[in-house]
Amino acid sequence: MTVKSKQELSSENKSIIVFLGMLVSIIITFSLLHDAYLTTRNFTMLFRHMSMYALTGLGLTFVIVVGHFDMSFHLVGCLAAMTTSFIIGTDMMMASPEIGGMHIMVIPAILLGVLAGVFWGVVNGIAVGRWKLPDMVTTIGVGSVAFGLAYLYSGGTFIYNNFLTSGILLLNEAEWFGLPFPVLLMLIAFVTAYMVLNRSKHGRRFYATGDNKIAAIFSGVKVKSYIIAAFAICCGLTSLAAILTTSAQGVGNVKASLNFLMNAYASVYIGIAVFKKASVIGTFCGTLFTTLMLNGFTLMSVPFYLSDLIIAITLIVAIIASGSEFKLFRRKKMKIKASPARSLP
Amino acid sequence: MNVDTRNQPWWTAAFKPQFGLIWVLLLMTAVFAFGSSVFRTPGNLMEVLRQSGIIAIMVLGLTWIVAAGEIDVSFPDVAAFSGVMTAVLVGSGLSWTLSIILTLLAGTAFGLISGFLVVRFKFSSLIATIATAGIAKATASILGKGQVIHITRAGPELYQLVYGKVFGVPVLFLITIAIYLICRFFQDKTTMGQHLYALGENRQATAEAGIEEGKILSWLYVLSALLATIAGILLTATLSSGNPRIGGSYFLDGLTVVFLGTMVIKAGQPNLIGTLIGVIILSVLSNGLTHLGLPYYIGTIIKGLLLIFGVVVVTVAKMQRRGPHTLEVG
Repeated sequence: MTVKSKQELSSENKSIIVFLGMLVSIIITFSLLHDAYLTTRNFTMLFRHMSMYALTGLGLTFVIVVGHFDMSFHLVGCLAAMTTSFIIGTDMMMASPEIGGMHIMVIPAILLGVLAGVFWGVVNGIAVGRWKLPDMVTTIGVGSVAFGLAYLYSGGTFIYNNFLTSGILLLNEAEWFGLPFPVLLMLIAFVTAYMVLNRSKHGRRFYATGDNKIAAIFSGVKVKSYIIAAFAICCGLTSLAAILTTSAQGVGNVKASLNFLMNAYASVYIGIAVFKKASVIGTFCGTLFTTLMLNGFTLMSVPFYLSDLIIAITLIVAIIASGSEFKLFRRKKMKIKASPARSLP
Repeated sequence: MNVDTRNQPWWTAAFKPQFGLIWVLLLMTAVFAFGSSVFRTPGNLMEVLRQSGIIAIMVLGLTWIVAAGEIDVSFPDVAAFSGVMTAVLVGSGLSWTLSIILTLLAGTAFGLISGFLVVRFKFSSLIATIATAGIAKATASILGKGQVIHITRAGPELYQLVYGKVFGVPVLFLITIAIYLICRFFQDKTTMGQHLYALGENRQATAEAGIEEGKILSWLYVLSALLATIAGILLTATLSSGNPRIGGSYFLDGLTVVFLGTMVIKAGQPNLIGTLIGVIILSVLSNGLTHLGLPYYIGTIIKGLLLIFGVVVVTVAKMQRRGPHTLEVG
C-alpha cells in the first residue's frame, strides 16, 4: 500500500514538473517571438482575460468534484448578465446616489444577477441531487429555460442604456492595490475555494461525495446538500464572470457567456491531467495555461477564430501527455459498480 | 409498468406514458392549427416536415451514441464545418459531386478523431467531443476566413433533393424516413443494435460477454460525424451559404431532440422513432410560434420545460420498473 502511494506521488510530481516546464517554455517561446509579450502591461491584460474564464472554471471544478457534469452554466450566465444589464438600464439606476463615479444601485444590480444565476444552480442541484435525475439531460433542460428567459428582457437586442454613466464599467476598470478589480476578485475566489476544498471538512465531504456516494452517505455526509451547493457555486461564479464580461464589453449581450463552456471544461480537465483530480490549483493552472497560449497567439495577430483550435489542441495534448492514469477520466461509475464484487478476497 | 393490461379496453394502451410525447405533438399541432390559418395549410405543414429532415439526419448518430452511454457534442460544429467546406469548394469552381465527396471524407475525419480519443486514450466522451467540436469550428472558420460563404444555387439534382416533392411530400423528408426505417431495423433486429443498448446498460457485463466496446464506439463516432456532415451539406444546399457559426443553433436542439426521444417507445432509452418524433415536435413548435407571432425564444423555454418534464417522467417510470437503487443514468 505504501509503495503504491509513493508511486502515485512520484507520478503526480512528474506531471507537475512536466507541466511547469511546458508553461515556462511557452512563455520563453512567445517572449522570443514578440517583444511585447513579457511586459507588465501585457500580463495585466492577460490576467484580466484570465479572470473570467478562471471564475467559470472554478465553479465547474466543484461540480466535477462531486462527480457530476453541468451543461447549463454558460446559458445561466447569459441570464445573469442580462438581468444585471436590465436593472442598469432602468430609470431607477440614475436616480440613485452616486459614490466615486458609481451609482449605488449598480451593486444590487450585480448581486441580483448573481442571485439569478445561483437560483438556477440550485434548481440544477435539487433536480440532480435530490430527485436523482440524470445530470446532463437535466442541466441542458434547465439551461435552455434560463437562456430563453434571458431573451425576455430585451427580446434579444443589446442593452446600452446607462452603461457609460452608471459606473458598471468600473467593475472591469477599477484598480485596487495596483490590481485590476476582476483579477482581485479571481484571487479572492480562488483563495476562498482553496480554503474550502483543501483545508476544511467541507472540502473532504465534497470529494467524498464525488468519489463514492454510497460510502459518503454511510459516513454521515449530507450528499444532497453538497451536490446542490456545488451546482449553485458553479452557476453563481459563472454569473459573476458573465457580468464581468458584460462590464468589459460595455453592453448587455444575450450571448455574453455562450463561449464559456469549452474554456471551462478545458481549464478543469487540464487541471485534472496535471494533478490527477479536479482541484482548485489545477483549474488555476489549466486556465493560466490556456490564457498564456491565447494571449501569445493574439499578440502574434492570429485571427480570433483560431482560439477554439488552440484550446482544443491544448486540451487533447495535456490529457494525452499527462501519462497513464486515464481511469480518472472515464469509467468512474463502472469502477464503483464493479468494486464490491471485485474487492472480495 | 407491471400493470396487467389484459382486462383493460384496447384504447387505454394509447395513454401509456411511452406514447405521451405523441399526444404532446398532436395537441401542439392542434393548438397551432386552431390559432393560425397559415399554419394549417398543407404547404406549411409539408415545410415543417422538410425542415425537420435535416436535423433528423444530423442527430441519428447522436441517438445511438447516447444509447451506448456516451455523448457527442461535436455534431453541430461538424455540420457547420462541412457546410463551409462544401461552400468553399463549390465556390472555388469544383463540381458539386466532387465537393460533396471531399467534404464527406473530411467530415468523417472528425468522427475518427473523437472515436480515437475515446477508445484509444480513454477520454471522457464529453471532453473528447468538446475538443473535436472546437477543432471543427475553428477549421470551418479557417476555411472561410471567419466569413459566411455565399454560393450560387445548387444544381438541379440537389435542388430537387432539398426542395422537391413527391405527391406533395418533401423528398428530403421521405429520404429521412427511409434512413430512419433502415436504421431502426439495425437497432432492433440485429445483434449490433442489442450490443449498443447493452453498452449503455452495463459496461462490466458487456466486457465480460466479449462485446468489442472499442470497435462499436469508434464506428458510432464515425457514423455520427458522417451523418452530421451530410446534414451540413444539405444545409448549405438549402441556404446557398456556408456559415461557420451555424452550429450553435443546433446544439441545444439536437440534444433536446434525442433526450425528448427517450420518452417514446423505450422508456428511458434513446431510440430512433423517439428522436424522429422529437425532431418533428421541435419543428412544429418553432414554425407554429412564428405563425402565432410569438417570439422564438419562447420556444427555447418550452423546449427546456418539455425536456425537464420528460426526464422526470422517464425517471419515475424507471424507478417503478426497477426500484430506486439502479438510477445511475447520465
